Amino acid sequence: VVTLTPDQRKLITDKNLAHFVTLMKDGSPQVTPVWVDCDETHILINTAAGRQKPLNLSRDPRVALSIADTDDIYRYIQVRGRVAEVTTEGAFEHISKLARKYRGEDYVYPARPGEQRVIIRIEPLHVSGRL
Amino acid sequence: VIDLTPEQQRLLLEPNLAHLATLNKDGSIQSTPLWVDFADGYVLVNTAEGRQKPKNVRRDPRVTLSLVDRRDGQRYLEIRGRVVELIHEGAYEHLTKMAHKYAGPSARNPAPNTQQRVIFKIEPLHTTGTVD
Repeated sequence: VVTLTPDQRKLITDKNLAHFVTLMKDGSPQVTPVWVDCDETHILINTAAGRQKPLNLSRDPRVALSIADTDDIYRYIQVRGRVAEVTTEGAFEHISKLARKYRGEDYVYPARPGEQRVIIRIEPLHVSGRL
Repeated sequence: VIDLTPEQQRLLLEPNLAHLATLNKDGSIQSTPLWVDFADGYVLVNTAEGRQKPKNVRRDPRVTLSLVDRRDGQRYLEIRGRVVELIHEGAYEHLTKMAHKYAGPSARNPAPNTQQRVIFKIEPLHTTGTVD
């Protein structure tokens, strides 16, 4: 497990999208652009239970992410990691926080009946790129 | 093999950054942002020999690309495909063309001209996303 540098954390907490890769049953990659966040040690993604991503992760916890700076295409990081935890705890509050980050302070993430949000907590194993 | 729709082709031809996932030897994933092009039904990306990506696709040609419209984050496209050819001829010139597309008409080719560039010719097999 590696520790994210302040510059890497800033790229993640700034309003940049991550492209999040999981492995399908046949081992081929699935990629989705997602909102992204991090804490001191982990990278955090928020998705909904029942989608392809959590399904893939329950089978194979190996993931990758790449994030480019929207203001400077030459600045990016690529991360290889492993899912440490998938949790519903605080997941709606977390998607609400992400919605404010990406859509603006006034944006309220709508509660959708039947939608269970989950936080995917990722341990970075290898980080490279150019910042 | 599928034909990309005009809107999907447009997303590739405009200067939107693509993220390319390839498979490492142990089955884990490598994902990299890169410049992308489209011609004659194939998705084209340009990288340098010696890097992980060409090694990976020679071993396992299954790749997946993801793009977001730079002007509208709700519009995105995932393309699953297979690398059908690695092209050296014209690859350096192709990178110059990509530099002009992404960084402006006066942009210089960012690679040293001694670098062996390679184009991945990717056959699209399946798409998902919000751009039809």
